[in-house]
Amino acid sequence: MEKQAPPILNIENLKIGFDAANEDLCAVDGISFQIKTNQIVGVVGESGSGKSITALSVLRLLNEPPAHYPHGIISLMDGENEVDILAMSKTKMNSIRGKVASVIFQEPMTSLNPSMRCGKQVVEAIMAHQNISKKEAYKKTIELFDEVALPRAEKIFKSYPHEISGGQKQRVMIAMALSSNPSLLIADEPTTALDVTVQKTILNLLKELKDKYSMSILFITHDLGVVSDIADEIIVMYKGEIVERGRTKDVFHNPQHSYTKGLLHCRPSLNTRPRRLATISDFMNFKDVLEVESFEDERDRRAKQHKEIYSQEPILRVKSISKEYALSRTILGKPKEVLRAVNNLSFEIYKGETLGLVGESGCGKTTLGRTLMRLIEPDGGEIFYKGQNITSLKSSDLKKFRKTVQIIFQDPYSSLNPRIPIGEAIMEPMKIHNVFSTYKERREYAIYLLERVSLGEEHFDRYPHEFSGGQRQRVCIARALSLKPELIICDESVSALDVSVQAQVLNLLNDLKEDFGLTYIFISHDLSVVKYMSDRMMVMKDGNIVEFDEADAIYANPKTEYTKNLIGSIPGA
Amino acid sequence: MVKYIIKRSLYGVLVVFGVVTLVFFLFNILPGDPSKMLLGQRSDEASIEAIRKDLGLDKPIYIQYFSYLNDLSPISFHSAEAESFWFYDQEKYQSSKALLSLGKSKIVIKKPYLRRSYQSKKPVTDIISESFPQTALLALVAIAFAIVVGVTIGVFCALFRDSWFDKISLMVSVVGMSLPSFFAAILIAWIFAYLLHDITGLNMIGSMYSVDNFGDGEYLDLKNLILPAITLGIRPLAVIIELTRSSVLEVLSQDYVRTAYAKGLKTPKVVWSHVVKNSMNPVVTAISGWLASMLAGAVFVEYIFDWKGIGIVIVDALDKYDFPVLMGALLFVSIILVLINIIVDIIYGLLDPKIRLS
Repeated sequence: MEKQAPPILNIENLKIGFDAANEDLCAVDGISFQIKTNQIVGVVGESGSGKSITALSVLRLLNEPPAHYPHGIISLMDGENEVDILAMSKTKMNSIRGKVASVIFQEPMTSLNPSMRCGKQVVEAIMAHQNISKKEAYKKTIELFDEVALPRAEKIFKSYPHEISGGQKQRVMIAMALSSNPSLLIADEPTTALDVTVQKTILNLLKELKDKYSMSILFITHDLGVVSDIADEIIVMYKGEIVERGRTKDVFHNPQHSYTKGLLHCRPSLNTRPRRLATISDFMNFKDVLEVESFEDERDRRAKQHKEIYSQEPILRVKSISKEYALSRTILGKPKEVLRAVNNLSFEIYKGETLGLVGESGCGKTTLGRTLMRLIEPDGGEIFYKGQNITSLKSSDLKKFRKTVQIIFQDPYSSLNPRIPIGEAIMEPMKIHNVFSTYKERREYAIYLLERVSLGEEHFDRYPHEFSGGQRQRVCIARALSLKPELIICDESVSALDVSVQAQVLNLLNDLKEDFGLTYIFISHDLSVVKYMSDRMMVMKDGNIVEFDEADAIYANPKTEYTKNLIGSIPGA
Repeated sequence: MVKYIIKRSLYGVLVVFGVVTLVFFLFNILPGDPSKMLLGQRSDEASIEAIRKDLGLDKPIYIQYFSYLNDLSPISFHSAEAESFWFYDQEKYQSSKALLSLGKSKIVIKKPYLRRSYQSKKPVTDIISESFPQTALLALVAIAFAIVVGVTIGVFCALFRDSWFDKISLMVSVVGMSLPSFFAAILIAWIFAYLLHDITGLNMIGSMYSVDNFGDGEYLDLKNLILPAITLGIRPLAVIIELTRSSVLEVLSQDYVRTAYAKGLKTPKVVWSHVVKNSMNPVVTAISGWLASMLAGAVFVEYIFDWKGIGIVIVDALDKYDFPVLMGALLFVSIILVLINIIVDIIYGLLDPKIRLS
């Protein structure tokens, strides 16, 4: 056997804690793994599993204190030399970061300095490690931008981060990370904040670059599907420990640990439609979860349901509705260029259905959702709710209408007021709309709702920061339910959640729909989720409806390239 | 950008017009009579009447108002008759030119005329051009001192959070914020110009110009600026330290700062090019407010150090019913405020490209 080259990254028995006083409380507990040259290792786990902390510790990017390393080894290969990262001084770390190993982060929106031109941020990275002139660094940056397939590199060089799209920002980040030819690239959820279609292109790019530069990639993600195509090896982390590891194929086809099984099943499958999605906890508790329903049974049940739903009068009728935004204005304030976010759309919504709305960011789906509630005033067209024209409603009638239509937003972190206990937050709409006459009744109903979303009375007086993302989204759902609405608009309501949590929230939404007799408009950029949830599905592009049909029909037989692309980008499909 | 500045300037003109109108009518509500003030003890009915006629105070208020606006406006209407209240007096209206004559009336283009002081008979323009530079210098030096020292201390406080340096700076800045300026002025003058005079060589009072005792007239004496500038700068300094500190702390926790470290940049570089610029927004807001109010005259500090700035001019004019001086000074100050607001908006754009003006 030939002698093997030493691994690029070697982590042995690593422990990371955030509380020096309490050694037992640690975020990462005794993990070991290695990454070889030209290998992609995917580390998968949910929020709080310690995967990001592990990634950041490789470059000592955690704040110390509070972070500390009671024991373990992290060693990186800097050319021929092995460097002991945990023994490095702060100043010496600067010569490792960005040169031997570099990082791309989850949020391209916030990971670039908003007040510095994109090009300069890359030039800065180059000049930190290479002794070259500004002019050469500029040339190198343009080359890198071409390399990561950024269109019009010179223009991007001069742009500020807010002037380019999320995918382009992530490409700038990648260019920055590659600038000094690192041997290891740490990708911390690099595609989580992006549209699925953009995600796919970024993944392909990473794979290409890996082969070209023969570097290794440590790829962190919460979604097994994302790494299925690109990783050579997969490590599954749970509560700070590695619960499973192996070659990608093996992990996918023959998962050993029940947590891994859960992760594999919680993303909605594209070919079947179980009544409930399996969740991690089902697997962890060894419940028999895969409720078996034959394909034919499922199809018949659905067809019967649809026949019932679509035989009634629609509850919401939208007639040629439009919304325009002025991109630039003349001196007199007249719009010179307009963006048609919603372009003359007409459709109906029936009681009891879930209407899916899918499309890339910027296609107008969010604007449409908000226009339906008149959170955004439409420029033209009419909306009838049970025969009443709501586009012409005055404020008092509008208030009554708003009671029946509620919205659940994407980001549960920013859609709850951090200074209001969640119980109050749920009661507030009831107070405004006089749903109950006394505080006691409101409180009782709020607690009932909390229980319905699997929280409880003990959470009533707590503040949002005490909850996880999934719990917060449950609170948002309870708040939306507090007015006993008929129609709920879910605007990317699960997009910010881990796939494992996403499954729980989707199940919850479906349960509530049955119990409360709700109608949903379900907006997402992820076609697999929309398909699972929806009866009918509407595909939007540039403010227009490009396809509108029964959800399964669109999936089985997409008519446009755009839809095909959306389907093809679903991770793991 | 140009469009924006034009638009803001037009708003500015409206604001200034509003100030003129408001001050004019408020002044006329005040009890008291400028003519009696002028004559003092010697007043008799006849001379009072003569002065009232001379100053135009015998006319109805609205006529007085329009005549003042007419004097201000670069294009104005006048009469050719010498007895008329609206007479076009070339001596009064400097660098003026009659554009058009229609019978007895003339349309004139001229420099805005701010009239003369009731008291000293000096042109108001001269009074302002003597006093305002003093106030401006004092305010700018004070604010520059506050910015340089305050931002530096604030950044270090944030970087070494909870260190002794941070704690002491915060304590001192609380004291600085709660110290009234008239008290601080007396205290500083007493310590540095009286107790420590032999070491510092500074005077308790003094203006931008000192009079030379050997007959060489006035000379520029910038030494006198030090104490009033420090006094005036203390409170903005304290506020800037706290604002910078909290803003820098917030920026330090941003993802892009982590990115900067991940690139391998050294700490001073990260702080300077990624943290400081992004944390200056609230500081600029605070500074613009302070600077604006200082340019309107720091009355206490100017009085105590006998610094002959516009604050003293305004207070004196109010005291003596010297309407043209009061009006001229307020008008000038409000124009300055409008200008500062435009400049601050431009600075916001430089700091945060997202709100760059279009």
